[in-house]
Amino acid sequence: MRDDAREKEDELRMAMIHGESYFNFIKMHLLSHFCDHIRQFGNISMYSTELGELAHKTEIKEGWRQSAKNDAARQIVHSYGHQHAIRMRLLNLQSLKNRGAYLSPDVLKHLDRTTSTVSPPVICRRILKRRRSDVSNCNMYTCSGNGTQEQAVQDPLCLVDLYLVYLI
Amino acid sequence: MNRGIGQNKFHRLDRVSASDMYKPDILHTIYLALFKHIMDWIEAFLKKHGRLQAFDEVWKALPPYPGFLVPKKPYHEVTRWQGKEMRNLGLCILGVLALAPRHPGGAQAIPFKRALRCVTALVDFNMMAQYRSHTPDTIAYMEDYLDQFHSMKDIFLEFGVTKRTQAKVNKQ
Repeated sequence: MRDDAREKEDELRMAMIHGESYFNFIKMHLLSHFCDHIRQFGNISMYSTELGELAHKTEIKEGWRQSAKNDAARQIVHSYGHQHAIRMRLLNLQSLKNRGAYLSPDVLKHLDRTTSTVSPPVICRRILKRRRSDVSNCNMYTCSGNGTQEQAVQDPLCLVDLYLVYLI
Repeated sequence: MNRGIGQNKFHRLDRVSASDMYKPDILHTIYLALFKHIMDWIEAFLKKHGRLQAFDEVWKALPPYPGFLVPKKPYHEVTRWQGKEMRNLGLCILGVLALAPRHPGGAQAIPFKRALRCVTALVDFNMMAQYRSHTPDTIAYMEDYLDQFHSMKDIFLEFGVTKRTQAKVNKQ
């Protein structure tokens, strides 16, 4: 009699466990996207997740710190664009410098700072940003000599740079 | 129990479809998540049928092979798993599980068969997901394996009990 009651209880327990349990978790579902992904983009490569984990630190956390904390997601997304534009701009300035173009001394100072040390380019970003008018007037790119103004404007690098500055 | 899919930050961005951003990640979806789950279930399953000892014995007796790392500890003694170790596990789990019930009794034969087929499907899916190139046939195979896995996984349902469910059942 007692065994019967116990067995019944066990059965009830089992039924309840079966009723309450579920396979409803995200990794179970994600497998179903594998085939579609292969159809669209080819095989699944065994890639390292290191890059994404690092990006969380540099792109999301720093973006958050620089944001106004209000509608931060949008600002974080934009901040990466800004960083990228500044990096491109620094490279452009560097290459112009290597070609022997004339750059004003304070720009040079900050350019040296970013290339020589590994310090974050936040300060020089501010300074370079203030010089937006320089770029649009092409003062920065006038080489020593005559008729260089036109050359500077036609310089593709300069045009790219102009475009990037508008992004900032 | 059923938490709906929330809106995250990506849903509000222009020209971004959040549901399309997922990129298949074998390390995190298969090795570190599903293999881990399925090993938990297998352990509970073997415990229920009293075959854990046999499983551990086979596990320890695995011979070395090029490209395969022999596990040093029994499964339940390892606390942290790396992706590489889980990959190793994927290579050998099927054989070990097949050997564990060397002579399953009449009542055990059916659940063991089902469990084995479920694990087979998952392992096959994993192996095929790693192919360097695919044809429509291989993708069809993958879909078949996935279907098979989903249709067979119910055998493990009772072992995936969450703490919340456990508390609820105990209360009654």
